[in-house]
Amino acid sequence: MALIEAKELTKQFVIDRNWLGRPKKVLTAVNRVSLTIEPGETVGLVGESGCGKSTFARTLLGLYPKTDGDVFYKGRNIGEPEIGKDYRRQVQMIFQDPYASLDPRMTVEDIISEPLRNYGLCSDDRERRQRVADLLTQVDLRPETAQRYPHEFSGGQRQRIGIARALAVDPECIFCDEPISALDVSVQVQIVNMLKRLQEDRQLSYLFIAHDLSMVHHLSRRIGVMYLGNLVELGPSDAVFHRPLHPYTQMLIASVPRPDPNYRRTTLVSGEVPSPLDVPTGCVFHPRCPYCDERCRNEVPVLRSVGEERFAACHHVKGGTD
Amino acid sequence: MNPLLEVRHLSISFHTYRGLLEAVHDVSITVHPGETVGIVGESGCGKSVTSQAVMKLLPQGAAEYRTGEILWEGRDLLPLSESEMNGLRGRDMAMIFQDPMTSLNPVLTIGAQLCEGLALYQKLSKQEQRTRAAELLKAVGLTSPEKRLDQYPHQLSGGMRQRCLIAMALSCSPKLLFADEPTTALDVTTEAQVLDVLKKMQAELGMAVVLISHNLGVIAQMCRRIYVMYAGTVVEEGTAEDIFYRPAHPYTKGLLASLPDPSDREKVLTGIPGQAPDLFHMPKGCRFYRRCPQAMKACMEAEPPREEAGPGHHYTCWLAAAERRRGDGTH
Repeated sequence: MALIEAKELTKQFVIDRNWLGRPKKVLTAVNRVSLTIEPGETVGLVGESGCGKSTFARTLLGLYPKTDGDVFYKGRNIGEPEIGKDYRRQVQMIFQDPYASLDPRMTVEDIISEPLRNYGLCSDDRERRQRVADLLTQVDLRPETAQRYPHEFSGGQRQRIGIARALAVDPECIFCDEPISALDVSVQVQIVNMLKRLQEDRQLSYLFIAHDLSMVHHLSRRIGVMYLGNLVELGPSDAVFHRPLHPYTQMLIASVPRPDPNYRRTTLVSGEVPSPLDVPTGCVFHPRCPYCDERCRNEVPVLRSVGEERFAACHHVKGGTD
Repeated sequence: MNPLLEVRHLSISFHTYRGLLEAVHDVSITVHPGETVGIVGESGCGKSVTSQAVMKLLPQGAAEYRTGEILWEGRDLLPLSESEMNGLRGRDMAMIFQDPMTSLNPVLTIGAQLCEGLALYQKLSKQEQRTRAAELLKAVGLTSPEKRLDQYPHQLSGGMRQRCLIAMALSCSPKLLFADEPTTALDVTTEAQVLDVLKKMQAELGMAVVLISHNLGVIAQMCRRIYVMYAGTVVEEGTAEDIFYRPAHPYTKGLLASLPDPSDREKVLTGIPGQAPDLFHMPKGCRFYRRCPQAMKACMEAEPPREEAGPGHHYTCWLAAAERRRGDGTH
């Protein structure tokens, strides 16, 4: 059974209201996205800025109230009160900006012990301090640093504090929203390797969001590709990276700069992402798509199975059933 | 061929409230006409300071040129006055910056900003300026360039703004273009297009480009020769093939070992332990020794010598010297 399942999850933001206070203009940031996360699995989510990947993670976690769709945790709807409470503890999040996501007026100990207090996980101060020290050791920070403030740490160290905070309540799944994009290459590897080690030690699941495709490919078992709020392709990491089916995925992967002086890109890359307030009709990718025809302009493609564990939302991808 | 730009043993310090900070230490860089040179390194390694130093854009008073010289077509730039530099900037050398959101003036139209450079250096009428500006925008791949001239920066996307900045930098056909992280703020599909534009314009104008980036992929695709910087020094220089296929310095090797391999998902990324040294507390010997897997006693004590790994391929490291000593010992 899937640990977490999103079913046609939709998130709309109201941009403008009429004089009755009814929505006049809405922005669909996440459009009927279905995705599962299995226990111990890493699911990568890629796409360009504004494609809705962060909004999806936040809506899935419940940080944003969903507009439509359902979220199931171990097969039970998180709308049920006792399930929702458990879910919020078992799923934690680490954020992109290691500078903005830690309260500058709290010591590291306060930051990490806040979730412990919230859930009443420690009976006394001594036990709590011991837990904080253990957590700091697990993220390769010295326990003596507990009394320091966030500004005394570098970006990579702050990200470790954020991870320790997420681990404090012993969760089953962590949503990582661009956890390494603000870091230098050599520090990125340290964080990625640590996430991998923690996953092995604790059987963690990750929803790993990043725009660095090669790192997502390295870390994830499956990859989902989002474009303008829609999940356009989903499949095993290697298959999506080396044999992309959706024309957008093909363009995205061709754009990744390879650290090889003799690599030459063959796929044509053109066009820009349209405004999410003015979404194209039919397939959202059709204005940039080299294979676009009449059907793409009028008919919205749905995500359908096109092979073993592979899904794509495109009229031109062969195989599978509609 | 005479080099276009030659930076020799340049050291730059900043006066800060914590004392003197040496941001660039003994950096030498050569750029020949028409070639693309890459400077790669992590944040704080001095790559941007080096490029701004060449254009003398560093804040006067705070920045101090300690040693070295900057030769532009054989002429030293350091003694030049501000007005003499103004004659070079924009016309002979131009720069595009990282952040397309903040490097355009939000209260002026794209056309007004583009024509500023044209008016300054080329004797053109208002109408000719406009025509030329529209041509430039078309050359960098903007659609409906006439319309764009009357638009303000906030009406354009990030990729479009970066194209405008490239058009502005190229308006006077400079001999050298500094591109300081030109695509860092952009999405990958936009990045690929902007890099294509840069390549195309370079081929058309025959200018030299110094591309500064932390992204090894971007550097590999664009540059013929590469300088790798670490903590204010150049640790390795060579052709793109040298750096990516035959890296000699442990730092370069560590950087390459930090990159995932698309063909092997199981590759163990070794990376580099620790973090870059604090510029205020620079180690006495090699600046990399605290993170280096092959550090020896010599590395702690003195600055490493410059070694040759092949024609035009140099690196600063003690390892080669130690290797030679060991070789002597066995004979």
